[in-house]
Amino acid sequence: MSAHIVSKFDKELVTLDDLILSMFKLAQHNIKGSLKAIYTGDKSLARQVIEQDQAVNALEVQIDELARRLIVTHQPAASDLRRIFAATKIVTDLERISDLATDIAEEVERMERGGPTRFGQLKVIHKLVMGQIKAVRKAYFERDVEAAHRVIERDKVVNDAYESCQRVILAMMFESAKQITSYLALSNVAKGLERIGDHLTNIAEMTIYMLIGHEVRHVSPDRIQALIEDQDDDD
Amino acid sequence: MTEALISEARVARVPELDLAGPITTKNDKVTDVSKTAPGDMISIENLRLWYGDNQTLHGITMSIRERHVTAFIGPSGCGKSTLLRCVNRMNDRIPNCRIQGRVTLDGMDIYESKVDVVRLRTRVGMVFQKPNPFPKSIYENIAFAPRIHGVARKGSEMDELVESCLRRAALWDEVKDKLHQPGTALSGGQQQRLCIARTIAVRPDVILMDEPCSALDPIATAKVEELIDELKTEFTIVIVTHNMQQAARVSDYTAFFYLGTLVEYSDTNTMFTSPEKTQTEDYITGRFG
Repeated sequence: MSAHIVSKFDKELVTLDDLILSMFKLAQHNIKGSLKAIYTGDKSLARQVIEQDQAVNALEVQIDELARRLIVTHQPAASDLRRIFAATKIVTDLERISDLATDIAEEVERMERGGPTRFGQLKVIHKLVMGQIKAVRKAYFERDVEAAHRVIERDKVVNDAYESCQRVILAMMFESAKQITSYLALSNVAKGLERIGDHLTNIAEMTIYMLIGHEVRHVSPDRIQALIEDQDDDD
Repeated sequence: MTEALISEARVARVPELDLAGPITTKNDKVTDVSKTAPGDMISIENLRLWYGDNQTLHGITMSIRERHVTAFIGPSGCGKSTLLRCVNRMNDRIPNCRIQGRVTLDGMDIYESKVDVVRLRTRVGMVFQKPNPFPKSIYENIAFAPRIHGVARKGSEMDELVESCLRRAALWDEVKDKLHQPGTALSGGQQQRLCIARTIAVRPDVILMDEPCSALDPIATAKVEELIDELKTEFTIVIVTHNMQQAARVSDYTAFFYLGTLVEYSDTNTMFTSPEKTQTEDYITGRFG
């Protein structure tokens, strides 16, 4: 797409994307850190994740302020309007993702000494979620509508992995009632990861809206695919 | 398809008006209305226009919905004002202007030779960029045309009409105590609303507005926009504007023109959030070189 006549607008849109990228990176870092803290029981690392959430919150406010300024000063329309609108929605999801990472980190305190040492099923969800955040970030910054759609489709895999994980945790609770607090904490961690997956789906939906101009929230993946194909035909 | 070579000679004659009746003169047959879709007030079919050798409009085809606001947008020289002026044959007065194609109002081809242009213009009123009240009193600005066209007689009937038009133009409260002062003494925004009141005084079906707010401050602009929103319940309104936010605010449908062609025409919400064509996107996002 060609540049705006008002070049300052282009520069400010680049700044908007730079800030969103920083938020993505911090959110990714916080998820990674919170899970590492769970696996290792590292309370200091957990505290770092909790403290780092403030930086994510500050970025959310900064991006919202920039978006408001862009709306007032440039009165954006069409793809510019969708881009700014999507940015304000995406940062809300990223902020929630970081909050969930904080919640996961807080569960370290509830993990008892001598608690679970095997995290097989949890690691499956963890890996899937990390793959999803990488994929949605790439889809957003490379303006790749198909990649965003794949993120939405893969959320089902995350949900299935979460269900399996909860079944395993429940079985372990029966086997080892003494460590029930630790297993409840693990259950919350799994739930947190599943919720992060949902927020990543929201980001993918807003990315698709930004790119093709169709609202795809609460729309089936098949219908989304049809909308994307319609758009390709128009192009 | 009608082909009309427009000249001053065809503009002439002011017959006695029957504003409730068809635009054609007595005994003329009214054209079949079947070609206009239900709800469409104006239909433009393959309209081409030349000023001398210079072709300004290249085959415009579109319909204008009844009792809705349609905005024409596009860069300077794209033909939007020229097209607007075709709808009430204002281009007739321009020497060497040649038009091909068809413009129908309620199914009747307005370029047919039997059409009375003066009567046409009472059904298709126009508001211009610069407010142009008559150099007469506020009252006379409204009463002048209805008196000539026999819409209302002198006295209380005319008083009621003047009051009604000024009220509908949201101007009554500001001028009711100075109806006999010159219209030209009003502020720019008031003058423009006076012109709108004057336009609706002859009970048109369509109001054409050619950049009606470009000479007004934001407050006066807001008042005119509010008025447009109210008037669309009674009139079909077509507005040419360079202000895209204004088009987005006041119109139900928007048409984007470029170099004399209609690039995209859709409901305003779609046009300003998800336009189909790259040219439209580039224009409304300020990328147009």
